[in-house]
Amino acid sequence: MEEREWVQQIVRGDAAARERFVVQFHESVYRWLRYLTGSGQEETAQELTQETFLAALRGLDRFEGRSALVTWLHRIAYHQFTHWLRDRRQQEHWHTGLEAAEELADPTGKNAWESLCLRQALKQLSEAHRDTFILHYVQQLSVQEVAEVLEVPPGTIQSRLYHARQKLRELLQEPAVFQAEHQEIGAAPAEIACRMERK
Amino acid sequence: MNCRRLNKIEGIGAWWHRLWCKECRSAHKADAVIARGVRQWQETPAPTDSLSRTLAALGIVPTQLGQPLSPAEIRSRLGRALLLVGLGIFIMALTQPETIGRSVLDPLLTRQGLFGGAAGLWALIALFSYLKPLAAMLTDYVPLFGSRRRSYLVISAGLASLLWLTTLLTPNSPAMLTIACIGVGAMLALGSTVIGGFLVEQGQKYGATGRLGALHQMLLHLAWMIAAPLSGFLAGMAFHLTPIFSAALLLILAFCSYGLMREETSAPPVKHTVKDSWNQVRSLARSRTMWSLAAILILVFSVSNFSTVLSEQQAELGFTPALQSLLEFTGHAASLAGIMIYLLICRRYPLQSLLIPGIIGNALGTLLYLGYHPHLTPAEAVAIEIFNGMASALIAVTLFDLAVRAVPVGSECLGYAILMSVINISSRFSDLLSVHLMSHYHFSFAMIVGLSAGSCLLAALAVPFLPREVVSRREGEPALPPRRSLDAGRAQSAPV
Repeated sequence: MEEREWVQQIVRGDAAARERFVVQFHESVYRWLRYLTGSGQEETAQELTQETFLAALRGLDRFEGRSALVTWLHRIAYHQFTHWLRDRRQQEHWHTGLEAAEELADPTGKNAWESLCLRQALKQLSEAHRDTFILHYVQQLSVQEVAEVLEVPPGTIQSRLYHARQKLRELLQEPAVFQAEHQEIGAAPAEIACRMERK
Repeated sequence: MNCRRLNKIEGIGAWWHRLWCKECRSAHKADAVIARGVRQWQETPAPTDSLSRTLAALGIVPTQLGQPLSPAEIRSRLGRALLLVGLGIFIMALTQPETIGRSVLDPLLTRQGLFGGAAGLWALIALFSYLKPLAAMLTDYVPLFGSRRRSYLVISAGLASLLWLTTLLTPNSPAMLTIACIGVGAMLALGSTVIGGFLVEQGQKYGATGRLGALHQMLLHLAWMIAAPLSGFLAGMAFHLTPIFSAALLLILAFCSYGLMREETSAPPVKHTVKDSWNQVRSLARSRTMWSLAAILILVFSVSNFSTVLSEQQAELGFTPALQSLLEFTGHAASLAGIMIYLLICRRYPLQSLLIPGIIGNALGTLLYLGYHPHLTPAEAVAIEIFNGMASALIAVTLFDLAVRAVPVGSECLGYAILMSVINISSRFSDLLSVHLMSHYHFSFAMIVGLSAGSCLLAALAVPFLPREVVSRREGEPALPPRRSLDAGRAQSAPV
């Protein structure tokens, strides 16, 4: 079904359409806000997710369809986050070494260490590059959509993606180093993660 | 990272370049780590109560839609899907006029020599099996009574049952009998297309493409194994038993479809216009995955079926009809064993680990026919048939699994029908090609065998072009959305 028809159904008060709207985009929005809010802020991410959908449902009658719903939601979520950041006077993300180890469902799982490596490597990027990378590769938004969310030109997004990718390649071109670190994670995940941070 | 070729080439060229360029090798390793890290990040789920809390905060009362399925519910739904697919595949394969009805209908249909005799008549009756893509477009894009699958399946099985019963009224009129059989063939083509689309849908939804694909292949082989003796038995008893038996089976299928198949009948109707349907076909035609897959299927199946040539070779070597029947039966039984093996290994290994060994195994199994010599013993012939049967079934079910995974969402019936048509046409063409090569170009049996094995091995070259999100999963793992290419120069483009 086209998004405009779907939005019209929701605006008309179709309960099933409203529920479908929340169910469809919830995971993606929550993951985006979970990344933005950083370590130990699960409740904040949950609250901001609720605020995002509340704002979206209130503003749906003004949705003109110039961008995709997912882009629009990410933009609302980003604004909710910046408002929260301003209100809490927090100026930097909490990407400590502990975050990566805590968030993994099973830090000792053999398939989890690439995610750990990636998050550690992403901390070496600037905030703008990091946000751009996450939106494009993890949240699966197109370059145009990322540009709309972050309110910068698409050319800037492409440039950021290029530099982010180059930097990550330099950092991760010796995954054996990360693998050697990871083999100790079963013993003391927090300690190892912090050691990687100090590097 | 200063290599000028970094990000500029892909595919086989990039693989070749990396053999010589350390920098690109390192970048490739890093890309793999990044890609796996992104996938693991995407797989990390939100807390289980997060969605319900959000719905509660918004004042939305969650229906089934909002609740994640419990493992028991998933098993129940998958069990229903397996039962329905199994029944549908088996009954539709068995009740084909040219399968169960050949013994009793052949003398009646060919009485007046219509359409050039038996071969022409059966080709006409089987015509609709080659028009499945048209039936698929109908079911994918034109919902009937609010559903895309159930209504079509119930109606096609019901009408096929009715048309089988009409043959009881027209045994003395070959023309009317032919029309009735064509009608049955058309309805079964429609029904099997729907079952195929349902198989793709459920397989992709529950990560059960391997199990459903194996079931599909297993029941086809079973239907072929029992069709000939059953057809002979029924024809030997009385004419009317075959139509009544077939009609009864199809009626059972219609009732089971009505009771077991669940669809969202409250879903809004799909907007169908000729333009929308044509756009879907165009996007399928532009899909690199579908083309890579079609190339693999053609290379594996287009020269693999040389059954006519094989039968002639067996007759030349003095194989008795009884031995030939035993070998055919052994081949089918070995195929069933191969499918069982696939069921065991598909949950342990990702599909990409099974494709190349399967292709090589199939080629080796084919090359065993080079062992056909004048002093071949029946035991050796049976051993060849066992190995070849297992190897060919393994690659067939592996490719079927791949085909089911690769079909785009929203075009399940059409994608499935197109890929099955490629397989069916390639197999038929293969037999004709081998006969043609032997009779017109004096190819020896050994050359036919070598050509078949070589063509199969060529298919391995197309495997690297298949998307990783399709081939990197094991059976039972959920499908992920397509990953963004890590090539920034094409960062604007659609996913890989």
